[in-house]
Amino acid sequence: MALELELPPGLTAIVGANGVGKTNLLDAVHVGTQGSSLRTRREVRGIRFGAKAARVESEGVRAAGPRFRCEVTIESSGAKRTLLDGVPLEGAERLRRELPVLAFTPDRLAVVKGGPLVRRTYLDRSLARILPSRALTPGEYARALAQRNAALRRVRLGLAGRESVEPWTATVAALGAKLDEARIAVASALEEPLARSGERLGLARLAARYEPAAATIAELDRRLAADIERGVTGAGPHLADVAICAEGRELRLYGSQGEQRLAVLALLLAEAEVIRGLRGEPPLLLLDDVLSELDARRRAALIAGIPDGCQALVTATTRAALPSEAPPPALVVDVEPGRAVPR
Amino acid sequence: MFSPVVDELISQLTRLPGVGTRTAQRLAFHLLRVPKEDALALADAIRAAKERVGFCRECGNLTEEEVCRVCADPRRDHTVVCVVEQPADVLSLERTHEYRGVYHVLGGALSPLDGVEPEHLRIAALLRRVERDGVAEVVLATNPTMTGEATAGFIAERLRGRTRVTRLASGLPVGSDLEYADEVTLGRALSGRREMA
Ligand SMILES: Nc1ncnc2c1ncn2[C@@H]1O[C@H](COP(=O)(O)OP(=O)(O)OP(=O)(O)O)[C@@H](O)[C@H]1O
Ligand SMILES: [Mg+2]
Ligand SMILES: [Zn+2]
Repeated sequence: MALELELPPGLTAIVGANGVGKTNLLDAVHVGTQGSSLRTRREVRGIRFGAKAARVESEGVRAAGPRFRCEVTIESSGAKRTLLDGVPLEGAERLRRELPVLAFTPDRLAVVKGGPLVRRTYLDRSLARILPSRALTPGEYARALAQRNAALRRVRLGLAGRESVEPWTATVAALGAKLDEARIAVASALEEPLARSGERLGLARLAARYEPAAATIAELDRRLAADIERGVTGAGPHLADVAICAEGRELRLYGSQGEQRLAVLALLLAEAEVIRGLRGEPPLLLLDDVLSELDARRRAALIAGIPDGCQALVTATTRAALPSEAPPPALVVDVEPGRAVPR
Repeated sequence: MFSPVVDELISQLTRLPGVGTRTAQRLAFHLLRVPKEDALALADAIRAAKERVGFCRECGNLTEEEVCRVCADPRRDHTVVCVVEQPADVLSLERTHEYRGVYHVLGGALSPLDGVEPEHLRIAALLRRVERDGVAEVVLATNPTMTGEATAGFIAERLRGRTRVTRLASGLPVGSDLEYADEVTLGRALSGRREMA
């Protein structure tokens, strides 16, 4: 069983009742362009019940360069193959750097509502998309930190002397400063577009503030005894947070459900604009379950706020949920169980 | 599982780096299948190497003598010491025919995650050697990986003020295309750029 869809530039609405497969369709596009599922880490769950494998082929144009062709295959054994223009990619992560795609699912509310870890992870993902040349920095910092923590624990256990922590203190300090610098660059690139997209969605003075947290060698040395005791490094950008605020107040603490949702969407629109500006490449937007929760004015503002040139897929349970004040979608795809009919 | 001797063979093979149980089983069955001479040739090679080859007293490189050929060569400059992680790195550097100094093989790189601490590497021996031989320059040629860099940093710190310490430059592979260089390599090459005019 296969489905072939041609998606026009601009907005495509994916319409259908609960449980017909709208999210599945959006997820298939995500798997086909990013090599990973929006729903689950266990990608084999995306293979149709009873089938042996799932394959998504996508073709499109990028702002700079010729058409691309991407093919992602997931076998029931869990093996995954990714081809970009016929060339196998080692990891699907490479695709994330090649093809910019931004997605919203209700899970993403955790970016505002959840703990600092979710926000750091989100910021580091944005970092990889906005500054591809520094995409590896968060992972490098994490590896250095793991080495320092291992050294701390070995000292505590009496397996090593204190001097064995020293090279890792230096490495953690250097990479921590590099990570802070990259995160600050991302936060400041997002600053103005975020204020604009927030304004459009009715959130005044929306801001995502990152407080640099890298510890210097001297600071890390000063807390060496405490760190050895606990067996972990107690200061640095791995503990930093991003404060997402409107009108100076943190939305995690004071925002309504709707405002938290709008903040996540504003972040997404802002990043789309930054990526379009910096990379000359408007990202693909996948927006699941956004319309139902927003009031009519904000639904229209969201659709109107999709940056020029971006291709966007938006799900809705009925056509009536599509805002009448915004320009109509370029295509409506009616989803029925096992079928998707473009109209 | 099979027979005590086969199990013993498999368990010995499993102790080799990078060999898991599955690979060990495959290797064991292979050894049992090939002609007896072939399998025993491997055993003899291991025995001969273990009995005759040891580590150079001076530099830690592999040698059949007490002191390796490089260390024993009076034409080499014994005041320049190049520090590498493994004996294989010595071979790579020797192939360039560019280097006239001597070596110091650490036996690995610092990595607490793998249980490798300064005392597991031949760092103290290097420091003694620098004092004793009046070494003029130490070239740090550990790998340009995180563990290699940390090891280089640790040694440099200990040699500060005692001798000149240099680090091998890292950059673009010769004959490669800029377009295909990864960001990290390109970044390193940029920060290590040199004056041309
Ligand atoms: N691997 C699979 N093979 C076949 N069907 C599946 C598989 N995994 C999930 N489904 C089914 O797909 C159906 C559609 O799910 P999906 O989440 O896409 O619906 P939806 O249109 O997004 O609904 P809603 O409006 O409630 O969000 C579900 O009923 C689910 O049971
Ligand atoms: Mg859904
Ligand atoms: Zn020697």
